[in-house]
Amino acid sequence: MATIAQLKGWDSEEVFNVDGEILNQFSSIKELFGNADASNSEPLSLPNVSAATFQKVIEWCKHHKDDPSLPPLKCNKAISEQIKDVSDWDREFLHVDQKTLCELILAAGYLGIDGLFRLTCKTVADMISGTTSDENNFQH
Amino acid sequence: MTNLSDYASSLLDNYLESLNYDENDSENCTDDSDSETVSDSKLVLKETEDQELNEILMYELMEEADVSNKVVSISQELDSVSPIEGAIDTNSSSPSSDILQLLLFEDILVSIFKYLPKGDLLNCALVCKAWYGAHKHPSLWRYIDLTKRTIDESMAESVVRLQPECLSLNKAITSKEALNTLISGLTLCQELSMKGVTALTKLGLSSLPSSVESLNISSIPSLTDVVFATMFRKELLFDPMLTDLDVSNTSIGDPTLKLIAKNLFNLCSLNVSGCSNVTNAGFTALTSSKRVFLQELEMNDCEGIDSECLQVLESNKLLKSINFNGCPNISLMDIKNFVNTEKAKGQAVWRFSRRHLQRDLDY
Repeated sequence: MATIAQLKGWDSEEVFNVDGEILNQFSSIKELFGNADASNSEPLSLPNVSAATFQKVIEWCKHHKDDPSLPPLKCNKAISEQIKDVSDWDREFLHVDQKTLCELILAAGYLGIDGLFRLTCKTVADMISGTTSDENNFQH
Repeated sequence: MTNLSDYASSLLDNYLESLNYDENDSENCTDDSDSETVSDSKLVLKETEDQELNEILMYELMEEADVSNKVVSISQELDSVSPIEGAIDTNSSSPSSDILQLLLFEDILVSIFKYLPKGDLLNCALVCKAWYGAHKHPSLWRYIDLTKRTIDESMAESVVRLQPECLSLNKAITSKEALNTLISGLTLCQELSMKGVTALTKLGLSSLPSSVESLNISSIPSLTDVVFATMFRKELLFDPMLTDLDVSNTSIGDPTLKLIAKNLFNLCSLNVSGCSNVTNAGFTALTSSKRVFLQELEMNDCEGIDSECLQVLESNKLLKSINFNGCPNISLMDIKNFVNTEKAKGQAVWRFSRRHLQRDLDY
């Protein structure tokens, strides 16, 4: 598929060629680009996403490009009942250190990738809950 | 878990650091004054925790008994973090620490907290000021479940302060006064479930907020027509928003159905299962009203209705489904006759399975 956006992280000059299928998942910035082939234009630097994180984000988006759009969360039920179980692929994908996870949340939030944002937030929430005296673990 | 803890303490450091700057905007922060201001912000943190102890709702919602122990242990841990703080260079402003600080932003915290059970959420409130601030965000408290809890005045007031959109009080034990405080204070509530709340009989329904769209007052045997009528005692300025009403297993009868026909113009779904006082006459009144058009009706175990009722209900063309499990006066023969007659008339086709009639809208 044709490259329609060229993006790079704030911390390196490495340029990522993004095709339409993936760009469509970046709901907050997709409007910036037309449908034309943009392989020769100036790459756009993403202020809140590092190159390593962006690499991960693209990996996630490639795997989830065929996912149906998510239903909005309802307020009348406990949120935990509305979320599907995390797939094995996602669990493996999120088997990263805390800092990377953090950056992924920020990147997903910034780029408007709803699925990844929910997934990462849920992962952190699961880390926080888990045990009964969670803060104890959290702070030690 | 160690990774997480390291990370958490660095989070905390960053947070304290940011506090440090916030509180001392006017002062020049030299390295010497830093240690003092850090301990100041520590004090602030501890005060927040004390306030926390006073939040009655918190602890009534939390079922764990060892809350106070937990607070003590957390504050000790906060103390134990302080030596590390001294070692950290407070002037470091590497991009990574910026990113960690971003995680203390309220909107991201709120997004994470959304996935936590309420008990864990309250634990999180004890971690630091930013987390305390985030846990109070209204979007986290839209749905409050007080099933089987004992609700007193102070708890009712706390819930009113949170203004949930959806509140479940199923089988809650409460007094008339507390319930009044609670119900009359909820101005944004859209879904209210009060299954088996017997105090409702004494209070009546006059203080019900007009915003309620879905109301469940089932399983209250002492709920009679007279009590239900209190809902309309006030002058109605505009049509009630109510679309879903569940009055199953109560003592209501035909007068209630007549009241519904006269007042609840937005009602789509009604459940009168187990109300033995309901008869055909009530449904005749309901369907003859030109402004109430039910779409779903449940009338399981109603002794007072028979097959005539189906004919009556058929005249409401919007009715999509009728459930009548265990109605002793409707025989299988009656239903077959009904379905065949309607089919012969060439109007809507009703599908019948397991004592459930469904209108085939595609016909």
